[in-house]
Amino acid sequence: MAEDSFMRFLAAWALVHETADEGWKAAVVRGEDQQPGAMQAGPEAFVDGLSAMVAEEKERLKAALAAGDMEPPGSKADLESKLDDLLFEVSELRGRLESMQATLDATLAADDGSETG
Amino acid sequence: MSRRGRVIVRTFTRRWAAGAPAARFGFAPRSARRAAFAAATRMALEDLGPAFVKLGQVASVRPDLVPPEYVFEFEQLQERVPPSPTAQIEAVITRELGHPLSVLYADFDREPVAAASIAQVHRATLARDVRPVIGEVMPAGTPVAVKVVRPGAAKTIEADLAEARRLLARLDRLGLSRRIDAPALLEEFAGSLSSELDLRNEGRVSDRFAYDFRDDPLVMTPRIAWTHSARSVLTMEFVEGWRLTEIDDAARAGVDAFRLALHGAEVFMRQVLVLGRYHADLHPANLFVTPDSRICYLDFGIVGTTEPAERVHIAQVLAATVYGDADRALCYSAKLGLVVPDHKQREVRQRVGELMGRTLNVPGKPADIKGFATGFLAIMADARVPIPAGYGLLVKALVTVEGVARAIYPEIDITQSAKPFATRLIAAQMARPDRLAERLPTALRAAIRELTA
Repeated sequence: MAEDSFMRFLAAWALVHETADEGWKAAVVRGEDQQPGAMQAGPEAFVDGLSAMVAEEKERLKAALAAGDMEPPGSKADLESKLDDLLFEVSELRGRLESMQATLDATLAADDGSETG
Repeated sequence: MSRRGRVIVRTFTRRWAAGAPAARFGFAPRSARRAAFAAATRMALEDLGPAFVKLGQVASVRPDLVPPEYVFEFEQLQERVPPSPTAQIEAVITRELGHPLSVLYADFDREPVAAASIAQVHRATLARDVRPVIGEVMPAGTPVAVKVVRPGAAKTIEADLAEARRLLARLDRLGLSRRIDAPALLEEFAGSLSSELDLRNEGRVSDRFAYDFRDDPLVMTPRIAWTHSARSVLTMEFVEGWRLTEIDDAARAGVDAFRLALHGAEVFMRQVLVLGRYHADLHPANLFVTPDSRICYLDFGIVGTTEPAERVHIAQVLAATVYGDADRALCYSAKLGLVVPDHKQREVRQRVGELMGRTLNVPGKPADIKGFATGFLAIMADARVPIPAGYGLLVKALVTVEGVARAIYPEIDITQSAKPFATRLIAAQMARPDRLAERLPTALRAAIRELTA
C-alpha cells in the first residue's frame, strides 16, 4: 500500500514535470512568434515573451558552458575584473596626484614670484 | 532696496505682464496659465544673467520643488554670456598650473569655442605626451579643450544670490512664493555652486563614466589631462563631432541615428538600473555624435545615484509603467518614498491609469514619456503628495533621455529599451534564493492544485 502511494507520488511528480515542460515549450514558441511590443498585451503575453527571453539566455549559457567560458567565483575572470577595478583606482589616484602636483608647482611658482618681486 | 534689487523686480514684473495675455489674464485653463507664466519667468531669468540662468537650470532638474510646467520650460534656458577677455583666462591658467601657456600647450586659440556663466572653453594642443586615467596616451599635439572658470564668476553669482535671498524673504512675508519652494532651491544652488566651481569634480565623474562603459564601443567621454588640470582649469581631449542640432549632417555622413538613439536610452537604463550612477543633466549641448558613430558624453555637472534596493523598485515602477499597470507603479513608487495617502489612493490610481492609457499605451504611437511625466507630476501636485528629490530627478532625467533620443531619431520609443533591463533586473531579484524559498512552496501547491483540479 505504502509502495503504491510512493509510486503514485512519483507519477504525480513526473506528471507535473511533463506538463510544466510542455507548457514551457509552448510558451517559448508563442513568445518567439511575438511581434515587437506584443509583450504588453497582458499577463499571458508577458509570460510568453519572458519565456522566450529566458530560453534565448539558456541557449547562450549552454554555448558558453560548451565553450568552457563559465568559471566559478575566484576564477581567472573574477580575478581579472577585480584587477581592472584596482587598476582604475590606482590610475584615478595617479590623476589626483598629477593634478595636486600641478597645484603645488603653481603655489611654489607664485611664492618664488612674490619673493623675487 | 538696492539698485540690482529694483532691476530684478522690474524685469520679473515686465515679463509677467507681457505673459498675461497668453494666460488670458488668469482665465486660461490651469496648465495653460502655468505654462504662460513659466515661459515669462524663463525669459526674465535669461534677462537677469548668469546667476539666474544657473538658478533656473538647477530648478529644471527638481520637479520635487518646482511645478512641472516650469521644470520643462527651464530646460530651454539659454545663456547669453559674453566671453571673458583671453588675457584674464590665460592668467587663471598660469596661476593654477604654475607655468606659462607656451610651456603647457603647443597652441592655444584665443577665441573661446564656448562661454557659459561659470566657465569658458578654449581649444588648444598639448605640448607634451599625457597619460590619462582611462585610454591611450595622448601624444604631444593632441587637440584638447581647456575649460577655465571665469575670473570673478563665483563673486558675481554670490552677489546675485544674496540679492535673490533678500527678495525671497520679502515675498515670503507677503505669502507670494507658495507655488515654488524657492528658499530650498536657493540653498541647493549655493551648495551645488561650490561643487561646479571645482572642475576636478567633473573630471573625476567623467573618468568614472569612461571606466563604467569601457566595454561599450558606442560610448565615449573625453580623456582628461590631469597634469594640465587643477581646481579652476580642466584640460580634456577635444572631441570632433556633431551636436544633436546637427544630426542631419551626421546622418548624411553615414551615422546610424536610430541605432545611436536606442543605444543612448540603453546607456541611461544601464546607468540607473545596473551601475547606480547616472548623468542627470543630459541636455543636447552635453552630447556629441562622433564621425565613427559613437555617442560622446560631456559635462557631468549633475549626477544622480541609485542604491541596489532602490534599483529593483525603480525597475518595478518602470516595468509597471511601460506595461500600463497603475496599481503596481504606485505600489513600488511608495517603496521609493512617493507615498499616496490612503484616502487619495483610489482617485490617484484612477487618474494615473487614465494617463497611462492616453500617453504610453496608444496603439500605433510611440510612448510619450514627457507627456506622462508632466501629467503624473501634476496629479501628485493636485493630490499634495510630496515627491522625493531622487524620484523627481530620475523622472526628469528619463524625460530628458527621451528628448535627446528623439532629437537623434524622432520616431523612437525609449520604453522598448527599458523593458529588457527592467525585466532582467526583476527576474534576477525573483531568482534570489531567499525569495525562492519564500515563494516556491506556495507556487508549487498552487500548480498541483491547478493540475489536479
